Amino acid sequence: MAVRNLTLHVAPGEIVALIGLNGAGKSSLLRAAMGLETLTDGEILFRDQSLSGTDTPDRARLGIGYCPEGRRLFPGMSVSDTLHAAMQAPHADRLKRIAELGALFPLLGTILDRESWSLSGGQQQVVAIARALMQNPDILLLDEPSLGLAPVICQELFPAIRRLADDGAAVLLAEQSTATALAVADRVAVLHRGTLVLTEAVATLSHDRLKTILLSEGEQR
Amino acid sequence: MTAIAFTQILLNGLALGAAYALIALGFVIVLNAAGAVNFAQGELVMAGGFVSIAVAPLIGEATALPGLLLLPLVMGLMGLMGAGFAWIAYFPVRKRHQVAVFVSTIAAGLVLQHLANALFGAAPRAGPPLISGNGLTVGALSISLQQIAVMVCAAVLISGTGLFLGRTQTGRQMRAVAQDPEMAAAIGIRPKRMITLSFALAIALAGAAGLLLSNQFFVSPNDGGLFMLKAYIAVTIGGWGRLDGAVIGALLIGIFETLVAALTSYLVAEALLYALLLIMLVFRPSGLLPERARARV
Repeated sequence: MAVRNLTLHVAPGEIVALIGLNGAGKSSLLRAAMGLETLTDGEILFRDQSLSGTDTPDRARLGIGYCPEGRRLFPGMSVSDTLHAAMQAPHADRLKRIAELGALFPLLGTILDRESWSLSGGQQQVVAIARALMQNPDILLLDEPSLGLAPVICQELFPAIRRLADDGAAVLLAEQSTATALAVADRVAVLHRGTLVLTEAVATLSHDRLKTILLSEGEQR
Repeated sequence: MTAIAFTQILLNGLALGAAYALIALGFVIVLNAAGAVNFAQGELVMAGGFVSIAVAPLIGEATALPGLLLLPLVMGLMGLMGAGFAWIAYFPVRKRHQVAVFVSTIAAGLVLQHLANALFGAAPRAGPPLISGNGLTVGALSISLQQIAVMVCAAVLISGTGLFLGRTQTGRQMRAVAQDPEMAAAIGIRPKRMITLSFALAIALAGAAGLLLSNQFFVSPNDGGLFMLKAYIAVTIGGWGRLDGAVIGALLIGIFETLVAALTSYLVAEALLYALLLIMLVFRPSGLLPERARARV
């Protein structure tokens, strides 16, 4: 889905929930921010610097963390190897970072030796987020983290995402599950067919208005 | 067949299989990294044999340095050739249809074959020995020093490759790129660099195999196809995409070939090997060690 006429800012310590129906352009926007889609027009800024000409690995090294839809772990690699591979730093620093993430996600410490393909959906999601966090990014791009997860797992996962933002990270959270996203987000941005139709603080958001927008999207389909 | 004769054949088969294992290992490393079969893998083994012959005088009798030093030298040169191979035969066509990569590697293999023909002639040539001497004799069993050196070198290279890929940061990143290059890039890994390294490693291993095989079995410019087939059969038997499967498959091939050739003839052994390949493809296409599930939710 092509994304058009969109201006969106995510501040440190803020979670912006990007919501919209399937095909609204949420994943395309996140992929473009990561450099995985080519922009035909417009610009993406990070720390006030343009990312034009910066390839995907350099964006990750600059401090953009990306957790894609469907997790996309490396199936034949252990969780430990996956996390090590995701950080360009000396061995001791990598171990320290894995320990820090283990404090954020206690489950992580129990599955370090498991191969990714053998993990449950919830475990995979925790590893995918931890992998994106290994470089201690300034902004985390999360694409549908609740997809396919049991509600009980989401209840553990989303408070951890909130804690990340409270520690200073900016989070752009693409979600289909509006209620789940709004429970942790500071602001909401609604995408419809590649266009931003609403941005508003969650605290002042009229849920009736949001419902009307989302319902009208569905009807237009 | 007596137990001693059987043990002797087993030792010979292991030495042959160990060299095949290096070819198959390189084959799988490129298969995983590039997502495509490198049809020039056999020609690169042949090239390794001829590179050994070309550089042997530099460190052989003239300088009184042991032949074992040839191994790192040949592997280094072949590793450089591997990096060049990736940039000439793989990267320019990798985003086109997969057939383009096949054709490109076949073409590169043919170039190598004709180049070897022009430089060294069509006749089989004997490669330099890794080590000279009479070998060991235990009772009625005898094994040459060259065979021991082949087995030891192959074992060191196979375990070294396993440790490198499994325990080092570069190895982890190479595996990550092999499994999902786009996602690997999204966590800061440079896929092109890792794929180049994979080609360099795979072709260095092919070069080592060329050196190890060329002394006992000679090398000629047309040998590439045969080596390539052996790698393909080893990987099919062992398990497509699995490094451990490739090594097991190659050792089984070496033992099978040597044993059947001793009982019948080399031609029968080859024919039965291809029959075995067909049987594997029909009844167990995923090989002895099937590739692990791609994903599970």
